[in-house]
Amino acid sequence: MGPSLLFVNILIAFAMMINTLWADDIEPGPFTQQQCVACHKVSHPQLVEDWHKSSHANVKPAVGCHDCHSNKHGNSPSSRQNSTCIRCHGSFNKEAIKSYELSKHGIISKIEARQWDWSQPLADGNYRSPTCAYCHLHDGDHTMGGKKTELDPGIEPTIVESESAMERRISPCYDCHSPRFAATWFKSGEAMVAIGRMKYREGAEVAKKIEQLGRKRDINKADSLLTAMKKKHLQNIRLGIFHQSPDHQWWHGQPALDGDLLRLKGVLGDLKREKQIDPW
Amino acid sequence: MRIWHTTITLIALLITITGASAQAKEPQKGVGLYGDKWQPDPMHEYWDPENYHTPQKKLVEGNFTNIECIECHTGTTPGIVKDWQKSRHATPKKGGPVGCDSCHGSDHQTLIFPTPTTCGSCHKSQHNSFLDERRFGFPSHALAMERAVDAPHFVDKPKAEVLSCLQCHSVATKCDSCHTRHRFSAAEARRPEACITCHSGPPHPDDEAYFASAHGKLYLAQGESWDFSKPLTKGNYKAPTCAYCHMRNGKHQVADKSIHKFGIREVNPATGENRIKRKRWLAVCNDCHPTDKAQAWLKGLDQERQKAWEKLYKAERVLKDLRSDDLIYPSAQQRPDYPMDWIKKSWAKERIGFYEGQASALYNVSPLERDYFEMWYFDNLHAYKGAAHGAADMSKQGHKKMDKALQNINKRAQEIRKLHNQENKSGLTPADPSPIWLKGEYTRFNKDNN
Repeated sequence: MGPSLLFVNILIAFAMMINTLWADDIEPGPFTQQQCVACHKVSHPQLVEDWHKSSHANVKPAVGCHDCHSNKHGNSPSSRQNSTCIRCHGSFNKEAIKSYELSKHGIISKIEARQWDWSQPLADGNYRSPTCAYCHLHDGDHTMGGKKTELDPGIEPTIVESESAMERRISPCYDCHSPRFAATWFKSGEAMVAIGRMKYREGAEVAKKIEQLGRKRDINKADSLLTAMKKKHLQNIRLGIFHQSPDHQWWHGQPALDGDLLRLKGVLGDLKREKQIDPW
Repeated sequence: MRIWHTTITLIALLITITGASAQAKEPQKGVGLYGDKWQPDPMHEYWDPENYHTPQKKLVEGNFTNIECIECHTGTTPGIVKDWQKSRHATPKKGGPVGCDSCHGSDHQTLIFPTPTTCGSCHKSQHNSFLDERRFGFPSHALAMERAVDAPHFVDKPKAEVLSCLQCHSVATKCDSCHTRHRFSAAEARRPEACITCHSGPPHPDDEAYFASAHGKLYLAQGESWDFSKPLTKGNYKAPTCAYCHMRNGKHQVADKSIHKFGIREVNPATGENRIKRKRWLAVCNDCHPTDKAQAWLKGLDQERQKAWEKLYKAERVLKDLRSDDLIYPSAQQRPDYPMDWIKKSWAKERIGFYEGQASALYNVSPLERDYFEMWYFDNLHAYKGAAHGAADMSKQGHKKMDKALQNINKRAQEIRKLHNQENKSGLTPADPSPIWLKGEYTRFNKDNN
């Protein structure tokens, strides 16, 4: 080894040492949200920018660094675990959690989570099965699909909301699945949800007729059936596809829609018969 | 002579052509009892590869060794490579690795998706006991796919809708339902969680029942420290898991002890066959419990079933009486029928009870029939699964639900009769319900797309 090469090697070793020292030099905290942002704006500008775009940053009160990473430094490994997300989402996203926990992905992560090395990045199939963060914060992407506008109550759930949203959703699948499998899965999934939407719209038509002909109690019943179709069963199919829970696609989804649809028709049928006997 | 030659050649050619076309797979058609009446969804090939998989020819060309596969796939699908590298297949106790090419083939243009037969070429005893389930009939893992695709509602409904059924029923057509790819771990499949993706939900809340039982509670409290690499034999586990009882000694046979047949039809537990099955159960319980105690528990389950069927038959009677009096509204003639029911069209009949095919009476039926469907399929099975797994509270809950359902069915039947009497008195006939039941966006789509 010539003297110049040796010099370069020493220089590299020195630089690495400084780098490590510098990294270790960060105090453990606690830090305020402002302090986190102030530092990471310099060290990880993209990350801070991404977070600003996320729905986490745009809800009130905002979900900040502390909520997932605690106020101490170096907490990324534990914040990657499902329990971090479930802490909040467990209270208002129950079916989302349940549909994941019942899926093969959820089962594997439940059985094996203790043996995993959580310091690894959320990419490249580093985890045997995807966790909440693996897909929703894939490769550390803190945008989480960007700011979500308040869902218009008129909008019915879909799988493919837009091409760009789909591309973001589907890319983590490629770490383990073929593009063909992933594309077919979501395409068929979209068809499955579309069928659910047809049932809902058929139900809505029946409900409209009930509203024209019915008494208050008929209208109320129709209302609650139709709301369940849209807010529960239809959402369950969507969750069943995204989180891969057969039960949410089927028993909590399609046959549940079938049941409420035929009950709506039952209300209308009886209503017509009763009206014939005794018009109100 | 020449004419004979030509004739023989022609006949031989004809035989070859018909033979070849009979062998060629026709992915456009379904497989099964009513296979000619439906076409598979594109996802179907992943759930039943033997019947529907077509290799993707557009992509890579060439024959590859395991090392070459891994070289590429470390970049394209790193997760499955890492997973395989940690599997027993990568470092078996004997011989070289069971690599990508061992199961998928080496020609990228004709890659196969492994089926139980593929796995069975090495795992012979497991595969044989799995196939042996077939002689016990349904319910079993080995017959699950046939059971799904031969159901009238599967044939009738759009395939993108009933795609959800295949994900669980593919336990018959793939081994990775329990031994997930590409680790294919026996230890994973021994965990109770491995079963609950499918054994959960209203008609089969096995998860709820097991975790509520004393066995399940012990597992929840201590299971993390159990060594699941041990075989499912006496003394290895402090409490039984799903597989410990249902796949005794690791035998891939879940049907040879099935007495009550999932709780969906009434059985006589005292037949010769069921007595043999009972002995098999007693032998399992005997690993930890004395025989007389186990006998008493199993007797308790028989009594629970008897009670459940008394309730179910009462409800069934109510419905059948209404049917005899022509009071089911809409009647079978006034609502959509199944595509393969063409013979029955002239004699359309409402499906009431297990033997009439009630398993498909979940849509396009009158609300009362659906109520009974739910009582039978949801409440009854809630009670059964609770009782069978030693979750007494859950069984009680199921019976309470059945009582309530029966009450509602009775009440509803009275209302229907009252309405009918009022119409009679006023000399009215009920308005034709067909427009409500035969029209609508989904109903129309279903008719055109089954």
